[in-house]
Amino acid sequence: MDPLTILALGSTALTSIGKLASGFGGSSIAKLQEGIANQNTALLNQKASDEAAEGKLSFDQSALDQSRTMLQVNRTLGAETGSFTARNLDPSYGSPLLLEGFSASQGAMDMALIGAKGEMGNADALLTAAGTRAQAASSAGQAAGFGAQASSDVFTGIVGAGTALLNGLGNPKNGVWSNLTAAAKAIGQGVPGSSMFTWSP
Amino acid sequence: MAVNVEVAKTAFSAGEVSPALRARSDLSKQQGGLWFLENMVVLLEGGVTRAPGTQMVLQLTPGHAYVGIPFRFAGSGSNAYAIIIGNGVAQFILGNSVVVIGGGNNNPYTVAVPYTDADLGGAGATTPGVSNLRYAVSGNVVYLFCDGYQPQTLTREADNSWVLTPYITQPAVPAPQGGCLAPVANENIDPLETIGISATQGSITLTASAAFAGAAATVPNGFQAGHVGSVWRLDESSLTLTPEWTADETISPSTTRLSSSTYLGGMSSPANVFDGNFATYASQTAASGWVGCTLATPASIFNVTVNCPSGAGYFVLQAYPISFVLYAKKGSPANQTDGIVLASGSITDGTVQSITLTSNDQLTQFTSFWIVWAGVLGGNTISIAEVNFEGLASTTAATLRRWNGNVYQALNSGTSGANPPVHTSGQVLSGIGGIQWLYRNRGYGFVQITAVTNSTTATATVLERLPDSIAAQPTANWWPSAWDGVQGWPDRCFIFQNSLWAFLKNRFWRTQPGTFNNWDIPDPTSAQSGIEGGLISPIGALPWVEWPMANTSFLAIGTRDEEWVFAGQDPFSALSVENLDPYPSRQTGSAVHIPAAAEGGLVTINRARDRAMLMSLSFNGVMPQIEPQELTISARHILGPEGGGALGVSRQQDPNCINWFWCANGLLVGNTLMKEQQINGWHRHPQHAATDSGVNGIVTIPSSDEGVSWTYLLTTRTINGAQAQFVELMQPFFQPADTDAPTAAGAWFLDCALQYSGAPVTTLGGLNHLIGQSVGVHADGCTYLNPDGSLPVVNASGEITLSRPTQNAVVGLPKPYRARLLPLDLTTQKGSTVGKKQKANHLFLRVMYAAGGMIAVNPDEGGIAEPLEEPGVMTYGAPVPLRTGIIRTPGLDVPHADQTIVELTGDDTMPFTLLGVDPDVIISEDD
Repeated sequence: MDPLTILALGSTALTSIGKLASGFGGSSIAKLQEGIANQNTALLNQKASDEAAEGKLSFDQSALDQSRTMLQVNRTLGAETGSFTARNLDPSYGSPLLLEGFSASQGAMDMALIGAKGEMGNADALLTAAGTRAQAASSAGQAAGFGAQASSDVFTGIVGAGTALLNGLGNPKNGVWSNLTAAAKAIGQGVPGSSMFTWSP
Repeated sequence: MAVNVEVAKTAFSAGEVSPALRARSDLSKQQGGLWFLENMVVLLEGGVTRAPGTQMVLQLTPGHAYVGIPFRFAGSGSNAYAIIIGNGVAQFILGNSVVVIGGGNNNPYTVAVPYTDADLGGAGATTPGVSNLRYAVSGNVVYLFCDGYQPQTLTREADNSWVLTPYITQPAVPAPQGGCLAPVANENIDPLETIGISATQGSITLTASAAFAGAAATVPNGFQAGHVGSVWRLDESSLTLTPEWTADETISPSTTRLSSSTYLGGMSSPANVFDGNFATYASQTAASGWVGCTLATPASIFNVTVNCPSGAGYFVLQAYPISFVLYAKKGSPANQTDGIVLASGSITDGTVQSITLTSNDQLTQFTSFWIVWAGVLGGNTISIAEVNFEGLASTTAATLRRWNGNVYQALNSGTSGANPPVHTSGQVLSGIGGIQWLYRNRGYGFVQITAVTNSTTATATVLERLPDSIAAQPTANWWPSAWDGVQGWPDRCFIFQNSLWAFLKNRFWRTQPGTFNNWDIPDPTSAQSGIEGGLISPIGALPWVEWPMANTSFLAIGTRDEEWVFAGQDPFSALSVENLDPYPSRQTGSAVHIPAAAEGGLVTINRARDRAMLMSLSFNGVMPQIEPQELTISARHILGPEGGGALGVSRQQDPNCINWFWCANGLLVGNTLMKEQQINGWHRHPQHAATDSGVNGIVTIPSSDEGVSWTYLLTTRTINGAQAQFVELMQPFFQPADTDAPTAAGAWFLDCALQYSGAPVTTLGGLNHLIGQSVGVHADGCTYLNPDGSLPVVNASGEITLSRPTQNAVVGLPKPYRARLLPLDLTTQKGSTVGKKQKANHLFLRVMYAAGGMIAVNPDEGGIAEPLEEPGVMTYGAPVPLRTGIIRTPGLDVPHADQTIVELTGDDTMPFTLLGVDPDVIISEDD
């Protein structure tokens, strides 16, 4: 082998190694980003769970408020009954009863509004949680993307190295190179079933 | 040795005092008191004067109970009536004349009333002599409330035109602007107790569920006969049956086909165009013609569709275009163009089988609809299979929307626009191209039950239109009547602060302020709502309302045990249930009666009917209060022991401020009362004994000239062996025509009397109501006696004959009077004169406008009554002059007694006012 060829081979080898190194480097960054994205996903999922729990909290709050309102209504009705009785009016007949019914209906309306507010709070929380889960899903998607990018970078390095070798070797005369070239070409063309897709650094 | 003592008695302001007080010479009341005061009244000035006689105004059918109601309507001139109710009728006295049927007929005008003798205190009454009828007056209406009866209104339309109607009636103006909205009891809360209706207006059938008639149901045992006349409220059965109003909604109301068998036009077989059969048709060979119908009930029209016969495919084979015009009219048209054009159009294509014309007025209601066709070529026949007038009839299912609790009906097609309907009567257009909204109901309505079929079925008249949802689905949201024959009708009433108040036992109702018939409570917190409630006593007493009365600031209520103040917590604010604060102010207790307003308070009768109270209504700076003061404290004997118990009281304000009581035994008792002058004098008025006369009722109204109060007495007398009943007008207190030269002309001191004024006569007739009676005659200012000194007797023809002619005479039952002074308990240098033999041979009487009369000293010891002067008997030609000043009695034949008693009496027809007595007492000392 003449010196030029040796030099050429050396150069080709160096280029190929450079390509490989570049591909493996890019893969590491993507893997790092994938990890971060996965962590984000986990955090977002946790956040979504917390937010969903706030919905239940809203329910509980409204139930508490309702019970307080109920208590207040009962106190009001009791006070009205006491007031009517103290004013020598029969609280069970006529206007006094209507007035207490009026107060009771207002209390019932307040409680219904509180219940509706609880429902709305729960719905809001679920909506927020759903949004967060969507973010988590997006983050998971990003993680998957980074994973794919990592694989892609390795592949790109191998392909680059192969291409450099092929360019440096010119037209090999033996079947090994030919087979290698064919394989490289096949890989370069992205043929499904290629062993390179299952390669793992 | 005898001692002369002159005593001056110059005031009798306490009137007749109780025997138990005769020894209390230390009391000022005793100083101004009298032993007896009969048929005389205490004057506000302190003297006493003869009580005037009465004029017989109306003879009543005997054997019945009667009550009098004062009524004054908002008219000019003579506008005060005494309404006499009894024997199933109401009779009317305007001023001092009985209202008679017109046209020269002198029969009293009467209006039938439902009240029985038992209701008015007659036979069968719960409390004999005490009427259950109560009244309140406003404008030209008398509201009548009586236990056991639906309240009534007696409305004056003219002097001799009155109408009695049940208080709850069909409203003249649709609610809520007007009409009568009755109070209802608590709402039903049992969802199984439902009421369905056959229609929302008019006479309807109420059909209730089986649960409604349960023994423990909201209305135990369901509908009962006693519910007839009661008013119930029915609310929406379901709000989901009526959609909520929404903005910009396109609405096409439901329509129905408008047709009848009253046809218009000249087509053959016109019924065929309204039979729904396309195979049958009407036809006419004419260039133009018309066909339509006339409805019995007006309806509005939306459109008309004209169809050709089935299978033929043409209106007419040879002629096009054919024009069609839609006409309508309120009433029957005279010809085919005698109406309003609502739409027009034409057919130009022979293949077209129908044409639809849309009315340009979907709101106006018409009774006749027709189409006019024209353009048919001569000799051709037009055939029409169907004419379909589509519109809104009274029977058309309404297209309804709800807003703010009210329900509205869409009357035309259009859009709802941006503004919801808020009106509460009539129709309002929502905007250009919008919906004409007809106010339908407010989510509830009222019915009055007219008949009860069984416990779950009744018929009723709709007073306020019912929600349509009830017709679709029976409602459990109903409110039974508060008043009915099952649980009772209110039996007490009063008008206070421009509202009508009604009471039944411990329950009360108040109309919306400014109304006397709207008891509705749309918002219980509003002072503008009615008020309905029940009283509970803080000390467990029975707070059944016996009487309600008021002054300008608060309502007072008397119960058997207590007197209540009915006012707000803030007495200056309008009353609502939120500030209403009734409370018992005093625990005196009242009998069933109607108090008399007097002296800024009320004169009432205690529950034992033996005492009279003045309930002063006052405000102490913090709260209103009732301050009772017993008026009979100095005359405890007068209502109970003497009268058998007071049954009622009537205030004669002018001129002497007298409270007149009528008692169980017919005794008339007067009480002159002016609180600020400390005048509280009692006087008895025994009625004519020979005729067993008594007073059973009193009603007082202002006189025609407003100068005095006219007091009418309802009397019972035995005349010619039979009971007779009268309405008698107490005559004005005597005032001489000429105070400078006063005479007895015009005096009227005879009861149940009539007056003659005219040409000189010796025979006075028209006295049929006194046949067989010895009567007093005051003729030409003199007391007339027969030549033999006897009284004339009314003969069977109702006449008396005088020995001399008279041109002005009053003839009636004699009315003797008596004033006996309390014993003159004197103190000399040797102590009290009580028990020492004494007498007064002469005395000085201070009198005013006086004539006649007799005086006696120590009458119980045989002292003879001596005439004060000649009473003017047989002195025709000049009225007896009256004396004002001092009369010195002639020497009297007086026996000695343990005390000196002076008594003034009289049975003549002369006026007599006694201002003071100055006896010259001679005391025989024992040492």
